[in-house]
Amino acid sequence: MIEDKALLKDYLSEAEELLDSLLADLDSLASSRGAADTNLINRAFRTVHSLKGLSGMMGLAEVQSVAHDFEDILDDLRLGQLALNEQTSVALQEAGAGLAALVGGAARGSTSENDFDRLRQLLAAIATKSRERTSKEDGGLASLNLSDRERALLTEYEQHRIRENLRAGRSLYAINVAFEVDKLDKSYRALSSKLDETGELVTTLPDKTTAASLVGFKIVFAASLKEGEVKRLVEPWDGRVSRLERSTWRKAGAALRAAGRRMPGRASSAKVAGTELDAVLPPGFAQEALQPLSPSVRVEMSQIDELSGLAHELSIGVERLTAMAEISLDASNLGARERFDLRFGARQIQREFIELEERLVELRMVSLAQTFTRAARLAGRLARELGKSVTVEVAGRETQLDKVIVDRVGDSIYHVLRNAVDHGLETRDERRLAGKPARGTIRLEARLEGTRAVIAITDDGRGIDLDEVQRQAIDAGVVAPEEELSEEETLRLILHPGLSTAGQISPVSGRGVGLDAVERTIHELGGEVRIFSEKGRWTTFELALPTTLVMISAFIVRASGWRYAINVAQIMELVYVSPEKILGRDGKRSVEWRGATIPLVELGYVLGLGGARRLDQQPREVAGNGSMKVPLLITYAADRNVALAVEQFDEQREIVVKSLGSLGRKLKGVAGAVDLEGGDVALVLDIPSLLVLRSTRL
Amino acid sequence: MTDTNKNAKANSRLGMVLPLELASADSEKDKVEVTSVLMFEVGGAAYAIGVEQTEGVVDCPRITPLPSAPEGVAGLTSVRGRMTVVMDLGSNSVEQNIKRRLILVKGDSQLGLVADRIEGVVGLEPKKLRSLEKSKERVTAQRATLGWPAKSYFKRGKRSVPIIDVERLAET
Repeated sequence: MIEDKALLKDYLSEAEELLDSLLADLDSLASSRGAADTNLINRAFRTVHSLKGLSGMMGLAEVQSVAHDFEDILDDLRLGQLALNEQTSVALQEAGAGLAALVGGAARGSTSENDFDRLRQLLAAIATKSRERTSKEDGGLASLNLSDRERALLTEYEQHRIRENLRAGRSLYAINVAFEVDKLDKSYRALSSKLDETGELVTTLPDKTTAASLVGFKIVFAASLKEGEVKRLVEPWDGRVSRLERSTWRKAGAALRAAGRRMPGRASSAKVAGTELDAVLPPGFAQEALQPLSPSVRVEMSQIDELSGLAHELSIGVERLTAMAEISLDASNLGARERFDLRFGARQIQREFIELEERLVELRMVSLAQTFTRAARLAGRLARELGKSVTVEVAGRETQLDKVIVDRVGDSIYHVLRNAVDHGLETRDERRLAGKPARGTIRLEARLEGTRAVIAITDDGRGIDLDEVQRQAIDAGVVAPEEELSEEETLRLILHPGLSTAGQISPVSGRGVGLDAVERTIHELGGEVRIFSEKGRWTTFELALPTTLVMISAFIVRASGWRYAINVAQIMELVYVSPEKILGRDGKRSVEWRGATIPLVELGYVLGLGGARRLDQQPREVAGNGSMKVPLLITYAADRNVALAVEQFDEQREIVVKSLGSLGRKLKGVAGAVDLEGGDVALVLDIPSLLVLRSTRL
Repeated sequence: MTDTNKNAKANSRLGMVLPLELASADSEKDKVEVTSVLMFEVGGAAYAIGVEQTEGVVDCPRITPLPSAPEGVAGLTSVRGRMTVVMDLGSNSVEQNIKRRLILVKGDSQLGLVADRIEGVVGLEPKKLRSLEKSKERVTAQRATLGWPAKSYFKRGKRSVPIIDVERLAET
């Protein structure tokens, strides 16, 4: 069961969607009466596959295993191994409904093992029917050079694996070997592990031998190797190799595979005895499926966008109406009270519209919780597979990001994590030798940095050897030997596609994605990848993601008559100072802050909206004690503190940063913009980069 | 879709804009591929933009200045909750007292072109379109576009009206 309430909610809502789609497809399949639509079956297969994966991620092993059985049947169907007749499709419908009935209970921990068993029996009945028939008709199996007795020894699973391998275009070989009885165990293990490196050892059948001291085996081995290569492979054990497929079948099979057609001889003539498939699930079993799994409603993102636009238009409409009401008021004899009420009321409505708009944008925001939980689980599992121990620490899972970004960044997070586990972390022994605890630590953290969300993945592994990376980059011709590279530049080399094997980072086996793909994805999202490392100690990958639609807490200030929003994370302190505390002259002012003298600039000037004001003569704010004070915002740029003088402090609030589109990305110092009351727009300033741009003045 | 329909649809999208001329007679509709452009005036000069590249015309809201914005960028405004970068092709001769309009450009650029006046949709037959890329026309080109990117122009009365190349505009 799923303990975490938020995860449970997410799981149920996602599972429900998958199940709805599955049931709808199975219904259409049943009504298609044999003329099965391949797309339909493929989609049902993918749906069940997704459900299996999702349930696996959530640790719902029962659902995962039963979905796996289901997936197998659909797989057979889509590959034409099982013909779809009326009984099968009805049984599939029944099984689909049964699965739907179990998922909710399993996630809440209230489904009994019995229910799963019943569903499993039903699935097994469908599968057995198909296998009985296919084993008679299946040219793939029947055409193998195996005796009837040998064929009878194959388990259902082994038959399945043989078919799968044939389908995948691999060749099947019989390897005859004989081992001395006393060395049997060791020799067999050596041979089987050798075979496993290059292919699949499907089964081992008994074989006749010439001497009593020998035990003979016939190993069925599937691999994408040529006969000669297999022969060389088993030479140390004196294995005899022969092909299991008959040559005519090999050709026909290959031709059919190439043509993407199903194998002949599997017409839908076979009868499935209806009685055996009926009533495996007791009456009422699937009733639970009538209850919705999740109280959520799924909406298209575009619908939310339309609503946002509408809300915005409405707020402007109210604005216009208010302006007209003001004019009417002027023409009437109403007093100050009414005037105030009207203005107050109008402002109220406008604020509510803005809130409505923000709520609508919030609907697009999802937390990283699910992605992080999945990622952490994945890292743990991968570590176990690799025989490493790892503790995965997760922080900042509540960070909210636009769904579009969360959906797209998942794979990149997984990839960097896999890298960390596989190549970053040393083995237990290596760690002990290095004086580190045997158990490695991977930290997965999300935080808001300025108006960006940063996802950082840190491992306490072997780090990146800069010299090694540079050496390999030179070998690969990526950089010239005489080129002087900074540490950062060198680290970035590992993102280079041609250099993914640099240093301690090598491509993760079996995955076609390199770090260059990660960088490309992050770039496409408007973000950047940063790498930090200390050799022998740790490596950090940071995925800095864009501002679009990130909720931030911002402070609104006024400068040169315009309002600006500044991320509170970039503000160290808000202070009022007396004009006489400001030292220096135009263009070179400074102020005392926490015992140090720091440069002072005017925001309006930095933004190019006017020259430096004479702050000593035009203080804008009246502080509590009645004296004139200048509002200052203490911030930082390039490691030094800077005081920014503004005209007025407005308020702090949560804002939704909107992107300025492709042109906006070229504007430095502006992270986005936010809608304010009255149809106005405030720029969201990225103070450090804005100040760095103007650093000549500081 | 017939060209007439295309124009009708474009017109309805552009709100109150009235067509200056009908694109083509119905009998000709299958023979001639007519380009529909939206003609507008800003800073005393006339420009056009492909109707298919626009998303609509709205009253121009208050514009917030953008720091260190490139030439031609007047600032930023919010249209239907979407941030729109406003470009003013006639930045030197703004008639401040008239009600300005904003032509919304389709695509990811989130771009809007400010207009002092919208003149309407014009249907152009290919022979009326003159390329600005031919060397013979280059002088006209420079005079007509005032430096804004355009691939072609057409004659309307005595005026040469360049058709703004939105993609290149967004890149500048």
